[in-house]
Amino acid sequence: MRGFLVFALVAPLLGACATGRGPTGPVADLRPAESPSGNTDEAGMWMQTERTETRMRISAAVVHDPALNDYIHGLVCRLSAEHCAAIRVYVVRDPAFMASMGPTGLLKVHTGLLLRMANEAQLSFVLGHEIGHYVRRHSLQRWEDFKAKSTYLGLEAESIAEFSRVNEREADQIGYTLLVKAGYDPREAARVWEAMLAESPSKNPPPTLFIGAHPSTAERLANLRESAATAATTGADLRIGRDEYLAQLRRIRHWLLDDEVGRRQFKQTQVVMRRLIEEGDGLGDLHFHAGEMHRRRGAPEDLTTAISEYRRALDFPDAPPEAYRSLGIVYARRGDRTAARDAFARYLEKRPTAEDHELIERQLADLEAPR
Amino acid sequence: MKRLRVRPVLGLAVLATVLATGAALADPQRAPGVSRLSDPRVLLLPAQVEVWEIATTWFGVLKPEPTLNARRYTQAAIERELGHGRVVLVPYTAPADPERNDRHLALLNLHAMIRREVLGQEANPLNRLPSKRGRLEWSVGPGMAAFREDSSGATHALLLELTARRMVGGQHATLAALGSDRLIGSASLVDLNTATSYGSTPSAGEASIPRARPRAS
Repeated sequence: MRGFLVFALVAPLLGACATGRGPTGPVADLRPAESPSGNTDEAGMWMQTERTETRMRISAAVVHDPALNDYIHGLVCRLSAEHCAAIRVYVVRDPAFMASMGPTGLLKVHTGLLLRMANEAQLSFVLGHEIGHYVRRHSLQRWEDFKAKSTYLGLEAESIAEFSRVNEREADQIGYTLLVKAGYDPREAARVWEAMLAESPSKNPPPTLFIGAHPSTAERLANLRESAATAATTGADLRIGRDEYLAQLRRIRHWLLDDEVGRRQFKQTQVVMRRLIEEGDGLGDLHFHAGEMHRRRGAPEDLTTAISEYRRALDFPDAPPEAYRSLGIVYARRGDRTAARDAFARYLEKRPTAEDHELIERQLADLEAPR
Repeated sequence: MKRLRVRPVLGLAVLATVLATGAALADPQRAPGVSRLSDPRVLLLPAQVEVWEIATTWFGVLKPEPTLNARRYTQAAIERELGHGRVVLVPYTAPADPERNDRHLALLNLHAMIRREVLGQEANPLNRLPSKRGRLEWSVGPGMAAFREDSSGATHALLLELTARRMVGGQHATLAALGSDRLIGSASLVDLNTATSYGSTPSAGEASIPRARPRAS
């Protein structure tokens, strides 16, 4: 099983290429419905991935949402009709910006990725990248490369990382090709990468084996922009699919945001929030979660910002009633008993049967008691 | 490419581990507090047996044919050692109902995770759990009764885990640092009435698996 932070790279369009170059020679692309047999390394990889999938099927970390699964699988089929039946999609509840593909076609899409995609075209680019790993049998290639180079542990780390970078570039190229063939706007691929870059703690991460296993940020961004500039992007029927994507995302976005704030990676979350707010969908819930992020960080200036975000959230009809509860908590922390009391009372008014209503009633009683 | 085979010595090694496991039922050298079982009907759950080839400490592949062979040997060894006398072996059949089957799988996963944690803690004297007092026992709760309900009158369930690993040929530095090819096994016996699990101390030994010749390109 290979896991990849998903980065975008756009290179010139490839033709339908039937082989890749493995460490020990050419490796034929996986044919539709093909599976390895016998006592090969690839058969072993399939065996272990099938075991993983059995566990995943019953895992509480997997989001069992048939409509969402059907939607993502439908995108896979749109990108690659011939491999559609062999690829199984699992949505994993995890706020990481990540997707991965196993050698058997086990495709994991983490919910942190879904939160960050602005539309169907962006998600399709990522799915196409993962399909690229699958078709090119990169798991097998990488294993063979490890075997060939790991005579002395660590001695050929850079060479191993370079091979991994080659795989990543190849998957990016295939992802881009599939995106264009499916009629999506290729500029959206570049936007995935731009969003990712904005979130990176450092624009130039130190070259280690693991980080170096992906092509550099600068290289990918340059290739991306160059290809996007030369691609035919003026056609009227280029698909972006924002409405279709949002129709799926809106059903789950509240808890995706809960999970994102729960990471406590506040700088990254701030970037994500800012972008989502700029995009303008679900502003009540977004401002509420922006407030939650500041409240949890808890620096003195954060409490002021949190109040402002909650207040802004309440201007929109989709603001959750929990915005009043959080306002009450922040006001109480700042010693503003009257404002805290009003906010808690509004919360109970909106959610009279909330699970925490007894706790809030007790807090209200404390606030109303003479000091 | 030469096909890998499991030499009989691996089967013997597996058998030896199984025998050690079987001792939990018959050997008087039991953990303190574990009494001899009377007329046990032991549900033989699918043994988790795997043979791995490792390129580094963190990247490896399962070897299909040796794994399947090892599973067969293990099953045969258990049946030969325990399938006579006063122990009645109850073969396991996965439930036809998918929901029920998922429940079995979830319980087995949970049990395996807890077992690994307990054994891992006990393996290091500094980490030993005071509450265990040297006894390798735990419980995953009354849910384990599902196995009793779905099998014909089993009183206990036997769970076995065996992992053989071998380094890719030529990894001299790794071999020197981490030791040679290894076979590690552990087993646990679950009382399906009380849901208490009794674990065996992990057994470790040499796994003798022939290495593949370099692949001709």
